[in-house]
Amino acid sequence: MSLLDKSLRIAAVAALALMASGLAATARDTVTERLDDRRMFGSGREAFTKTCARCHTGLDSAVGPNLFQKEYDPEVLKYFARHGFGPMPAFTESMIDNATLDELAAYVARQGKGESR
Amino acid sequence: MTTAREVAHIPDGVTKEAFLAALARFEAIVGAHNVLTGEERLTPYYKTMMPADDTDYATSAVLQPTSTEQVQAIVKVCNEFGVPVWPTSTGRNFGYGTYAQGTAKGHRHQVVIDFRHMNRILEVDAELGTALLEPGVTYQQLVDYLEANDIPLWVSCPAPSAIASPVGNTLDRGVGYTPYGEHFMMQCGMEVVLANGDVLRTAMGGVEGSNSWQVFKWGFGPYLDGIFTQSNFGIVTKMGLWLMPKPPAYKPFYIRFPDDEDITAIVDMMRPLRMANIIPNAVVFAHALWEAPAVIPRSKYYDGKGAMPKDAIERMKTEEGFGAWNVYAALYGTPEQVEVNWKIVTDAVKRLGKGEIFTEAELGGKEPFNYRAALMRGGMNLQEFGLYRWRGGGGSMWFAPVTVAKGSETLTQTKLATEILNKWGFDYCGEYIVGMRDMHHVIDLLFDKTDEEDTKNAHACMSELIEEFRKRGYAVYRTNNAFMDQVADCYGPVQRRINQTLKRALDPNGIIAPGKSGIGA
Ligand SMILES: Cc1cc2nc3c(=O)[nH]c(=O)nc-3n(C[C@H](O)[C@H](O)[C@H](O)COP(=O)(O)OP(=O)(O)OC[C@H]3O[C@@H](n4cnc5c(N)ncnc54)[C@H](O)[C@@H]3O)c2cc1C
Ligand code: HEC
Repeated sequence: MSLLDKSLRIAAVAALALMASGLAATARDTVTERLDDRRMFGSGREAFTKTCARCHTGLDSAVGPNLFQKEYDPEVLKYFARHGFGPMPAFTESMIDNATLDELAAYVARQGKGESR
Repeated sequence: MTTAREVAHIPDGVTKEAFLAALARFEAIVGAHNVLTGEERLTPYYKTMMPADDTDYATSAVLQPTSTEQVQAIVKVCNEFGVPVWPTSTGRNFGYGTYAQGTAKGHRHQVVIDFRHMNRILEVDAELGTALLEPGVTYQQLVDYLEANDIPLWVSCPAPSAIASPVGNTLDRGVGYTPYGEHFMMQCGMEVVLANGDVLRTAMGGVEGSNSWQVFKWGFGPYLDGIFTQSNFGIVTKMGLWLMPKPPAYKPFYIRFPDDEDITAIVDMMRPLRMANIIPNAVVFAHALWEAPAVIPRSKYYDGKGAMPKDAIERMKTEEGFGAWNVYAALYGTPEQVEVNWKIVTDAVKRLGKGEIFTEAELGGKEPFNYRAALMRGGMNLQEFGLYRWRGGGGSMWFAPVTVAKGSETLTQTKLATEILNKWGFDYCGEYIVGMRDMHHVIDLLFDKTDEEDTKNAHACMSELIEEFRKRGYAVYRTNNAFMDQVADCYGPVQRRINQTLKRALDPNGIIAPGKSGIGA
């Protein structure tokens, strides 16, 4: 279970507890915590899957080139993410924070080198 | 107190001293790290797809508030120092300006409020199918939440789905492809920070202790939510919306029509089905030149200058199996309902005597069917960005005139748009998105922003499209920052005056997004 899922579960459990105690017996108490910088995505890999990989699918019909077929320097990947490139949008820190982007870039770079993780 | 920050741009009409003093105050409100200045942190905010110099639309600073109280404090500072702010939810308004702010005329370099960090899902009522969201929540986040909690509700998203936001999209009156595709119609209740720092909760939200804020749109007295969409009258910090119950059966389908002229018959065949809710979703009629970009680059069939010639289009259609018009629609309900409605749909196509119908059985997993099927059930997907690869060069503007859902209208509009686009060397990459009785005729004016000539032509072409359509009584439903004044003019001087009157009353110092939708300070 990712960190994201975990925090959502916790929120849901908290809501159930509230209902049980009869404080507010509605489904309206399913408040999630703010996903702050670090937890917007559980990991760099999750950020890659949920953003980059939706265009860089690796399929023939993909919008962007397969990023696993080349060896990229992580700095290059980060540069593209922050600047965008023609059809590719730029990603702000608020969309993918620096720490997650570091992980994401390291993850993609490892794939390019043919490493499995 | 001031700040030692280096700033590349200063909002028009504000002195450097005042701006630095305001920044210091912003730092005290949201924390220094949440005030972004400097080339490195602002770079991702500068990229626009408009045929304009991005510097004219570049922000001077970005603020990342995390609470309504912080937004109230921000507008106080803005009033004190005359600093304008342009709120964005997730800022993914591609083709409509992205993070651009102002209209380059005396309102440049506004401070962007980036709400991405204000991202709580405040309520999801699984029984009523309602949600209350902060502006920074993305569609992906909402979908993750519903899935993690096994809540059988669907979102309705625009094509940039995963990376965009329900609040931002709805505030620009965007569309999706499910039966809830007209997003503003499915919005219910807002919290708005006004320029004077008041926090307005619309409709039932004003009644203390009310639990019906997300279920009854109108409340009592004038209905206000509408004036906060496509406007600059307030900053929205919460929004309620309705989510669709996941139906037991879902059947997406595709109908291929071979000839350009078929559009007339398609519209007239589909309208009664849509109006009777047999086909309840926002159906799409995509031209071959919209269908193709999602899966192939233009260079595969034409690499020359100017618009793609007719014979190349025909060759592409034949070889790739695209129709001139490609209809995507879906049925929703119990298996029995879907079966009955499927017969009605297939009978209608048979009666027409034209059009080949396909379903998941033949096309499952194949693009573009795959992404269309995902969008019609609110599935996360970015395949449509293929449009941007069609010509390359990263230039895009949506030209999206409103059309009545009558076949007779479509030939005129399609022909006129094609003529003007081709004259300037651009392709007609268009589709019709079907509403209740209207259609959004959405055309992506794609150009190479790295080429000066192309960029100049794109600007002239857009301007001519707006003008020639206006002469015939047509106007667009939404536009990018560079054309907001011209589009506002299409709607006439009285609408411009009333908007300006409201602006002066609600925001006398003009601190919220001056220039937006042609409404000045
Ligand atoms: C390939 C492609 C396909 C697209 N398809 C669609 C589509 O199917 N349907 C569609 O609607 N769009 C579509 N778009 C356009 C656009 O990308 C989406 O509409 C997107 O949802 C808008 O970005 P956002 O959600 O981040 O909103 P934002 O950019 O955050 O907001 C849009 C505007 O609303 C106002 N606003 C935002 N938040 C606030 C606030 N809190 N208070 C006051 N005002 C605010 C601002 O003026 C802002 O500029 C498409 C774009 C691309 C590239
Ligand atoms: C909306 C679609 C889209 C998304 C999302 C996207 N990209 Fe891209 N990307 C593209 C396209 C299209 C290109 C090719 C642009 C061109 O060649 O004109 C590209 C190119 C690239 C390149 C250069 C490839 C090369 O070798 O030429 C890199 C690196 C890259 N993207 C990284 C990323 C990363 C990292 C992310 C996620 C943070 C990401 N992209 C998200 C569409 C996307």
